[in-house]
Amino acid sequence: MQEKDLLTIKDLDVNFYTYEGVVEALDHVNLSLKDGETLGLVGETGCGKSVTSLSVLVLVPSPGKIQGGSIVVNSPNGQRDVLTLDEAAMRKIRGEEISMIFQDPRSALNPVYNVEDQIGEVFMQHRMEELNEEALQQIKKDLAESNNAFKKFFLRYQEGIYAKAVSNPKALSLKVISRIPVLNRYKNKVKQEVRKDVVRLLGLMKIPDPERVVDMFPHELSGGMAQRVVIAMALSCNPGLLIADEPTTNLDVTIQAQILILIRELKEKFKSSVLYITHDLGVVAELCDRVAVMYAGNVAEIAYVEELFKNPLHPYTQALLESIPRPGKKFSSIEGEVPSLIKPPKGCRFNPRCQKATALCSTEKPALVEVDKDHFVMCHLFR
Amino acid sequence: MSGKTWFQEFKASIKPSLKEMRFSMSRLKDSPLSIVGIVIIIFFAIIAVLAPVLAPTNPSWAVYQSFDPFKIPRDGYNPIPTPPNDRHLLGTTEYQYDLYYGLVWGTITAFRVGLWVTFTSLAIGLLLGVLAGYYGGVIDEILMRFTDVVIAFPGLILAMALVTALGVSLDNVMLALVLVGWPSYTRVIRGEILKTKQEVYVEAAKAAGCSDLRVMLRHILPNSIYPIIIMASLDTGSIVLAAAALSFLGLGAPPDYADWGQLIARSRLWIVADPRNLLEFWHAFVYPGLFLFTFTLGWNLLGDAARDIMDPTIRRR
Repeated sequence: MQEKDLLTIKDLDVNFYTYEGVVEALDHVNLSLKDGETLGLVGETGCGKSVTSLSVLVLVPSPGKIQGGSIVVNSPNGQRDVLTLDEAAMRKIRGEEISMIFQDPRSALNPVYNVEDQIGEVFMQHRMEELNEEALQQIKKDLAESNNAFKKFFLRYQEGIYAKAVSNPKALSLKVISRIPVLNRYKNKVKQEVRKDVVRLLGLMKIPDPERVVDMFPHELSGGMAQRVVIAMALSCNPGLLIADEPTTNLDVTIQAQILILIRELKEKFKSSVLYITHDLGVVAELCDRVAVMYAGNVAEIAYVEELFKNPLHPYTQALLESIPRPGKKFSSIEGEVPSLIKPPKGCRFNPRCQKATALCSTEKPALVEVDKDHFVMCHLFR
Repeated sequence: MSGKTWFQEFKASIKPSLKEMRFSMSRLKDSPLSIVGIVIIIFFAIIAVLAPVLAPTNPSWAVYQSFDPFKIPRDGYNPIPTPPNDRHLLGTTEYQYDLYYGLVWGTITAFRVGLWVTFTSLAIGLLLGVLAGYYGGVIDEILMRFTDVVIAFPGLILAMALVTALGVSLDNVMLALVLVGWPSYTRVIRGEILKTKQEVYVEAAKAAGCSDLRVMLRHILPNSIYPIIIMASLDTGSIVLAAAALSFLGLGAPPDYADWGQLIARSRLWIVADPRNLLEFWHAFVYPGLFLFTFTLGWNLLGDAARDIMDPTIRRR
């Protein structure tokens, strides 16, 4: 794991403190994401994929606690461990450096706002200074062209305010004026700029007729469109790392393909890295550079996609690949059940279901070792 | 953009809100009952605004003229109500208080009581409910248990006790109704906020870097406030009824004050004054009762309209 990896997760432990007991959702997860690559995170339901992604944003839901480890993010702004940052610094990272696409696009959009407001909000959160600058330029241009005294008066007023907003965004006078009904109409200028940006962004998402879509409400959008809007929200500030949490699960197959192609194209265009969470190995083969296979809160195996499909080393990965339905093949599944994480099996967490388990497997936890170049496995068979 | 005048620009800037308003109007047309409700409330609002014109404050027949327009002028000291005649459009009630004057000026009182009590309880309920729902934990526990204690008392009885303790006056009636009324709002808004907090878009907003306050005000509140706005609209009518009930029991406005409850209280002896001729003094109780009934009905119908128009989650279905 080199220094210049975009994201390095080391020994991440997350526990959920529930009534039934402590759920050890993540147990010493190690992952790294190179700059510009797509890492697929695959595994069964409940194996800790989503918790890993939420940990990166430090948004683990309430009974859960990040117990230990480090999540180091490399960005143009420097190298930081997000777990040590305070809330204010973290808010700057969320949405601007790391952003997330959620599973169900319909419920990830707030029903009371239209598309312009939804995406515009992210702009306003992180890009206010640039927006003020743009608005100021626009006003100066209008002022030069205008010859109506009345209009000039308004433009002068707006110019003054935006000049102030650019030089000192936290001025008290601005705060006061922005609350007064008629005087705060100056905000319209910045909203016009936001609207332009939103329309441009929707165009990049290949949404037909973006001028019309910006005024639509979430329930007026089709599933595929809603997911494009969610992706637009996530990409609005050009983040270095995009976390996609099963973004195609709730879409039908043709739309799935479109969204996957879109994500791949946008990744190139925006020069982002993608952490792609899914349980669909087909999608992984299609989209990802490397894959991390997770099982019951552990990373079982990490390898390049071709390597993993050609030469799976961990018994769980082998079983997982076996269970992909193929024509002419008998349908097979992995024996046993995913263990309860309240009292996870001792040693390797896969040992009760593993065909190749030895006595050692149920006593000692294996370490993640590099077997081949860039091929890590957590299994006693490879030491 | 430079080719347009400032007026065209202004027109373009308000176009979306105009469009929304027209949409609201079209929603409204779909439910005739809400139109009835709105018409009733507008009708009463007009009466309230035009009260000084509709019922001049110094009629020639007044035996005593007060400087306070809310004091009903009287035409003599006879305890028996007079039926409608030229001098008194709707007749007089007990002790010759003019019914028409009392009902017109009582409309203002009804609006004042209904709106003030509703808004104040809404504000208190909203504030406490938001605090409890958003912060949870100890704050939630303390606030909600206190709310439970207040709800445990029967409302009207507690209000009576409070008015008796604070002193008999209309202002104290309003205060007592607020103190009794806020807990139901707190409970509902807290539940709604707890529900909305679980939504994915709230998490998405956090993942987009929004601050706690922003998540609360822009994402959670707009999605959870509608039930209590509808509740408030429905409550406005019943609060006027409750205030009238307190006035009826002699705990509200002073005896000559323009208040519907007061007028109904004055008519209670005359409902069955003469067993052989039950309708002899019908005007004394029918008119105030009709006003109170229609006013409450109007607010109830308006509550339905408010939900159809305002709640964005059902507005465009």
